[in-house]
Formats: sequence, C-alpha cells, structure tokens
Amino acid sequence: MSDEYVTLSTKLAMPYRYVAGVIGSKFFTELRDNKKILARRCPECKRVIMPPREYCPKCFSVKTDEWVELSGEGSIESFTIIRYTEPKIQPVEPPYAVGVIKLDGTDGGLTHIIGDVDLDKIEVGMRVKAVFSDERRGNILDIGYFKPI
Amino acid sequence: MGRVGIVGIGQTQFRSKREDVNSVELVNEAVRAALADAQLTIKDIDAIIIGNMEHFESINYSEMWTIDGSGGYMKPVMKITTGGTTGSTIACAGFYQVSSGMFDRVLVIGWEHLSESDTTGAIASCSDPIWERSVMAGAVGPLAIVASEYMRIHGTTEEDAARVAVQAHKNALNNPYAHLHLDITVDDVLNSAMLSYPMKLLDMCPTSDGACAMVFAEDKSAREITDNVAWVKSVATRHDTAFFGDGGLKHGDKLRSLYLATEEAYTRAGIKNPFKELDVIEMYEPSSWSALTWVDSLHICEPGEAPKLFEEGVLSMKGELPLNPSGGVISTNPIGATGAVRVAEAALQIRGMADRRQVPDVELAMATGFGGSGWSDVMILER
Amino acid sequence: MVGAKVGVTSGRAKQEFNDELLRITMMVDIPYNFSAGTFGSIFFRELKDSRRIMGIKCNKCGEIFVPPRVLCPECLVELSIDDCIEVSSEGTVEGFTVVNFPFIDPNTGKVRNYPYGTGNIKLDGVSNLLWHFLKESDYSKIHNGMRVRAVFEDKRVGLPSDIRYFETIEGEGEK
Ligand SMILES: [Zn+2]
Ligand SMILES: [Zn+2]
Repeated sequence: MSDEYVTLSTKLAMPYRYVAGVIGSKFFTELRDNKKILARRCPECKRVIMPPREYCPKCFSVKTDEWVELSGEGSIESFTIIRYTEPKIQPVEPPYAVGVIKLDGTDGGLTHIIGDVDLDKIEVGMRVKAVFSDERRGNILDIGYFKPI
Repeated sequence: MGRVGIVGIGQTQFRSKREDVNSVELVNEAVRAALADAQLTIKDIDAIIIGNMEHFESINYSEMWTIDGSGGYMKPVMKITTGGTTGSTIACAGFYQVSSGMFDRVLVIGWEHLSESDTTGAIASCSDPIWERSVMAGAVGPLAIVASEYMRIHGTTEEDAARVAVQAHKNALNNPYAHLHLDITVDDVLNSAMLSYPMKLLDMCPTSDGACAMVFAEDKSAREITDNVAWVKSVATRHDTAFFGDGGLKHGDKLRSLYLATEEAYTRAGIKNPFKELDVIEMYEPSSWSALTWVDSLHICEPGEAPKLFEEGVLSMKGELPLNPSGGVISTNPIGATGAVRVAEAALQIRGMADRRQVPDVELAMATGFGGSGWSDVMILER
Repeated sequence: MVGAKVGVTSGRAKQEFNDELLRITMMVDIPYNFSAGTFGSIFFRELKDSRRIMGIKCNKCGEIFVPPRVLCPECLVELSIDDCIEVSSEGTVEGFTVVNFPFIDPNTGKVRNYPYGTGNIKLDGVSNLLWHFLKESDYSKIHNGMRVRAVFEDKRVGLPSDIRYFETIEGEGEK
C-alpha cells in the first residue's frame, strides 16, 4: 500500500436567519428608515448603552426603559489599518481603517469603518461623524462609515 | 460531600419561532425566571455554565456572545456542548461544580434558537464528515432506522408508537410552557406525513426556540434560600462509540448507554426496584419510537414490554409510574435546553410546583438526557 | 465568515408586537479539508484501486469492524494496519428507513434530493453495521433481513461514495 493519505475537500454550507428581537429591530428600522442612531438608557446606573440592549449588562436588574437618539458624532478611541486581503469577508477593499468609536453621550464604543480619510492622518481622539449609506437595508452597514469632522 | 439541590427554575415560553427576542434576550428570559424563583440576584451567583449547540445558530463562541443575557460578566463561565444531552450535561456539571466545594451557587443555562437554521441540516453537520455526513438525515433518519430495528425484534406496530405520541401530546395540554398543544388521536398520528419510514410527522419531536435555567446550591446555602429544595440523589453518564453502525452491535433492542447509566444511578441512589420506588420520570424521548426503546432500557420492564406499558396506561398521568407529565420532547424540543427541561420538570415535580401536570406526592423523580450517537445522562432527584 | 452572503428580510410581528421585526439571512459557506487518517486511507485506497471493502480484525477479541480504526470499540485494544482485512461486499439489512422530507445538505447548502433509502448493513462476517445508501427507495420493498450487495462506481475517487449504494439480491434472505 502506498503511503498516500486521503483527504476530503468539502465545505460546510448552511443558510441562517438571525433574529434581531424587539430592541434590535427598533434600532435597525430607525437606522434604515430615518437615519437615526438610537441607544438605551439604564435606569439604575444611568449609562447610555450602545448597541442598545434590553438589560444593562453591568446592573442586570431592571429593563432599560428609554430610547436616546444620538447625534452620530463621536471620537476615535482606537483604530487599525487593514492592509491584508481576505476575500469574501471584508466589507470594503483594503487598505481601510477600522476603529472603536465612542459616540457622544454613550458609554462603550461602536466598532466601525473609518472612511473618506487620509489613512496616515487618523489619530486617537479624532472627531468623526456617521455617514449613512444611500441604500439602507436594515443592517449595521446602513452606516457606511465614520468620517472626520 | 454535602448535599446539592436545585433551588431555582426558569423556563421561557417554547415556540417554533421566538422572533421577539434575539439569542441573548432568550437566554436572559430563562435566567431572570430562575433567579426570581430562587429570590436571588445575579450577584448571588458564583459561577455560570451555559449549554448550546453552536451550529444551530452558527455563533462560534456562544458563551461569549450571550454574556449580557447569562449574567456572566466578570464571573467564571463555562460552555458545554454535548449534542442532545447538552441540557442534561449542564445539570450534571452544575452538580459537579457545587459538589467540588469550589462554588456555593451555580447557575446553569441551556438554550437554542433553532428557528435560525435548518435543524436537520445542522444535525447532519455533527456527524463524521468523511464517513457518515452524506448519509445522515439529521436525527430523523437514524431514529427511524432504530425504530425499524425495534419493530423487527419485537413485532411492534405503528399503532404502538402512535399511542406514545398521543399520550405525550395529551400531557403537554397541561403544560403552559410546552411548544405544541395538540389534542390528537392515534389515527391522526397514523395519517400524518411519512417523514422517514416508519417515522411520521406526529411521531417526531418539533424544533423549538427557548431556554431553561436552574440554580444549583450546596446544602447550607440551599436551605437558606428555600425550604423547598429538589435534592440531587445521584447522577450517571454513559457515552457510546461514534459510528452509528457500531450502535447495533451487541445491545440489540436497548439503548445501551441509558441501560448502563440508569443501572449506575439506581445503585448510587440505593434504588432496588425502580418501577416501585420512582414516582415520576422525565425521559428524553425524541420520538414516539425512541420512547419505546428507551423505556425498555430503564429496568422498569422486560425487553419489548414498553408498548404494553403505554397501552395499559401504566405510564400515563393516572398510571403507576407517570412518564413525562410535561409532554416530553415530543411536544417541545429546544435542543440545547431540552435535557435541562427534563431535569427542571423533574425538580418541579419534587417541589410540588408543576401545577396542572403535578403528580401527587412525588418523593423520587428521575430525569434523563439523550444525544449524539447514543449518549445518556441520568439524574435522580429526591425531596 | 468566509463566503457569508448577507440579506435582510422583515416581517410584521404577530400578537403584542406592533413594530417590524427584522431577521438577517446569511449563507455561511466555509471550506474544509478533512483527513481520513491512516486507517481511513487504507479503506479508501483499497476501495478505489481494487473495489475491496476493508475492515479490521481485533487481535484480542477477534471481532471484525468496518471501517478500520485504531481502537477496538469493544475491548479498546490498539490495532495496527496489519490487522486490516478484506470483508464481504454482501450483507443483510438490519435496520432501514426511506428519508422522505426536504432538508439542507450541509455538504452543499442546498436541499438534498429525496426520497432515498438508507440502511444499517451487516456485511457477512463483520461484527458491526455499515450505514450506507440503499438502491431501493420504496419502503414497502425493503425489509430487515433483506440481502444486499455493494454496487461500486465505475470512476472511483477514494471516498465512501465510491460505493454507490447497496442493491437487493433477489431470491435471498428472510422475507
Ligand atoms: Zn446599568
Ligand atoms: Zn476487541
């Protein structure tokens, strides 16, 4: 017998349907229909939680009870430049920047693309604002990217 | 080793689609109910065990993803994935963790959002990719093959199986959490669509969305929380070999893992005559046919006698040993939670909290889990 | 996710929810290379080159298993490639079903063709069962105890599908 080993080259392919739930659906429909970015306020610690959640992950006690509309502006907390190519999973052509953006009035950051920018000039603390996609379909890329103010 | 007991139980509503909640919120619904039952807050919980089968939602790392729902922020969290037994394994693991003396109060959570994928396809993806994936048809195909073996060995009829499904659905009518509430007859089952001979649509469990959580506590802590504790008397687990074809080797008509696990659990609990001593059983029966083979494996009857027990009503709500007052898996199947629901329902029976599905005066209850290529968990609870 | 195709669908929520509920639909499609390993490779090479079905005979208990594997599942003795032996390509159906419902085949991401027959087959002389396809897909024409033989593909690539299916041997076996 030869010493050749057999390998099966195949794939794992499955369709999925992820449910956004009541809170998530409200966020995405407002984003899609009205270009609004909404967060939720925790009645106990008063933090404004982004992305919005039914319960504050820290207090874990009572339901968040208030929608808070954000200005869409914020500051870059950290960032990186993606220079490698990974076909099929990248939202835009590399090179591009991804950063954690602390939206004004919220606690916690939103990870998103930083665009319309000179990649060499991005720095922590830089002020940015959301640019909405022209064609919005109710997902997180309805915010196309954040650009410097 | 001190005693370990269940002091809090929470179940969500089980439905074919829970689109009002994402997976995090689904988990949270059960956690919140279990904490409320125990009159505890998340601060009182020392550690968390969460169980789910990731490929049903394609969320790798689901214990991370659901942390806002589980309350695991800055706590020790462990994820368990053992197929159909996931929910019963988290119960065993909760017992192990508390027994170790490391933690006083452990929250265990089983959940599944099955509507997010094609359940049969996702189950097929569990099997060996080279040898068995192309022939595997989820759970239905192999369970149907086992059914045909049982028919051959014992001369069992399709009516025998249909009777099991009718009893399960009848019991589910008393359970507000159950997914299916069907008032059906043997003829309805026999006339339902043939999924995979001899398995018909109404012989088979549904696919459900939902979660189940429980709080396990050590002796002193448990008694401080409540005077109504479901104490763990014994646990046992057996896994079988992976190839489906190995299963038929030497145990013929029985589920070997369940036969051996129950035997060990009875011995550890000092149970000599399980049929006489047990007051109620919550058994993981993914289909009516499976229930026949599984009942034969519990040491409560001779091989092949299960159809007779069902026909004579011995396992009905008014019988000598009620089986699955909840309606069982045939009425509700949120896979990662299903085994946990068996333990939770057995604990509710012990605590006298099962409302319309309560069996009178339950002192000793058994829950079982089934999964994978024929794995079994067994947990016996006492008052 | 590799090859993730994202789309959004929405539906009006029933019951107490007045707002629109969103679902994100996604095709997850990830390539894998699975290794058959030493014992599996022997099975597939012999199948491909010689139309032979290989099993393994435990050097302790004497039981024969298909496919060959490193441990005897009964006595957990470690086995070697020298324990591999050819087994019969004929056998008896011990359990069967005909799958008659649609579901997504994870190998393709598409609905698998149905109905199709599958069975647990006890190859002559072998201790365990081999789970494979049956040629017959009418369940009224299949019964346990039925005799079957392997039908090999003309073009074999070294995979289980080189056995196309097991066909009924007419006039043999229990009725
Ligand atoms: Zn808070
Ligand atoms: Zn051996």
